[in-house]
Amino acid sequence: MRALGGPVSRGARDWSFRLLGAAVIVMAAQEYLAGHLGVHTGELYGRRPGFLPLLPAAAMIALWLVQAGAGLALIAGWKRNAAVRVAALATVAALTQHYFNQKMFLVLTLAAFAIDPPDSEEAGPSTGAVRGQLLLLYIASVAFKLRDGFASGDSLAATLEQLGDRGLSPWIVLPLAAAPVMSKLALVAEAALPFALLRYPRFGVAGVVLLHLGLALCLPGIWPYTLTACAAALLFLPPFR
Amino acid sequence: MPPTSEKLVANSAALVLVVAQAAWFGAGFVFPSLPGWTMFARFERLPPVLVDKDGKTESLYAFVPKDVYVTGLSGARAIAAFACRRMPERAPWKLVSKDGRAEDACAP
Repeated sequence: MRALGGPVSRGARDWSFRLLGAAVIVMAAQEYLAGHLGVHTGELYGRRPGFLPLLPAAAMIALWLVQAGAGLALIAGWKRNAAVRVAALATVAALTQHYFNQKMFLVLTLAAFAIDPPDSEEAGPSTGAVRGQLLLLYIASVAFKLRDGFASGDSLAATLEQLGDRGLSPWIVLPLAAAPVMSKLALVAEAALPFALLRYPRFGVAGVVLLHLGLALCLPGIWPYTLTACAAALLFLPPFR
Repeated sequence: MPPTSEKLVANSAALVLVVAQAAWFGAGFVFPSLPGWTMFARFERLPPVLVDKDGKTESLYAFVPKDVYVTGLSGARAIAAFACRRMPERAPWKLVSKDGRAEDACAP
């Protein structure tokens, strides 16, 4: 597990913050464009913990603007330490309004970055935490997929069917017949990534980018997940010498 | 270089975060009703249509934001119950599968 605490490339870390900023902006923009305000006006159903109050629509808009501002600051590199903390707090608040797994992953990654945004090539606690979280994500995802029989392709076929029922158009339309093969490929890729990231970080990062780009092109609405995973993966890159 | 106590706090916070995520993963694995890191692991075929008392239909997905994936029957039933509360004048609603099977959407 030496790689969890190993040094990180300065350039990769800078891009990691930029991608994280982009993830926060895309998350906020996507929620607005997908009509989440309808949840706040009572027109749409929202999945959230029932014991927490639902914010008025104006407060939700303000929250999205704060997220967008913090995301922009992360991309531009302005007051990065403050920006990542503001983004983390605003995204936690947004998570209480609409629960998504990808938003939870973004919150956890922001929280890890917020612990101690590193300012040298020496990996600080933040870097180790982000790396550990990404590895855990893949291990958990594989474990859940094995438990639930994902490799059969039925789950992916049902996902594709729902896209059709809703009239949602992904960039790449997968035929239903491809579901069993694509499911197995995704499972193998996710199982291989933790090993690749630790042992061959450059191949591992390329694998993360390819996998998540492919997923985002086939499944609408998961760009925040893609950007967050790529931001976390970049922290595995050692300094170029 | 931060003072030792600050570094200790940062290290502890990092450890707590990773352990908390591991616990969340473990809890979701043991209790499937929790939203664990499932990432499309289990995705059910759902009844996509709601039918009101007059036989008029609405897409189940018209009642959720466009970026929300409905992964299971329990989610579909929760959305159907929301439709019942939102438009009681059109109740009773039925949740109808593609094969024609219907279930009461407004059952308590």
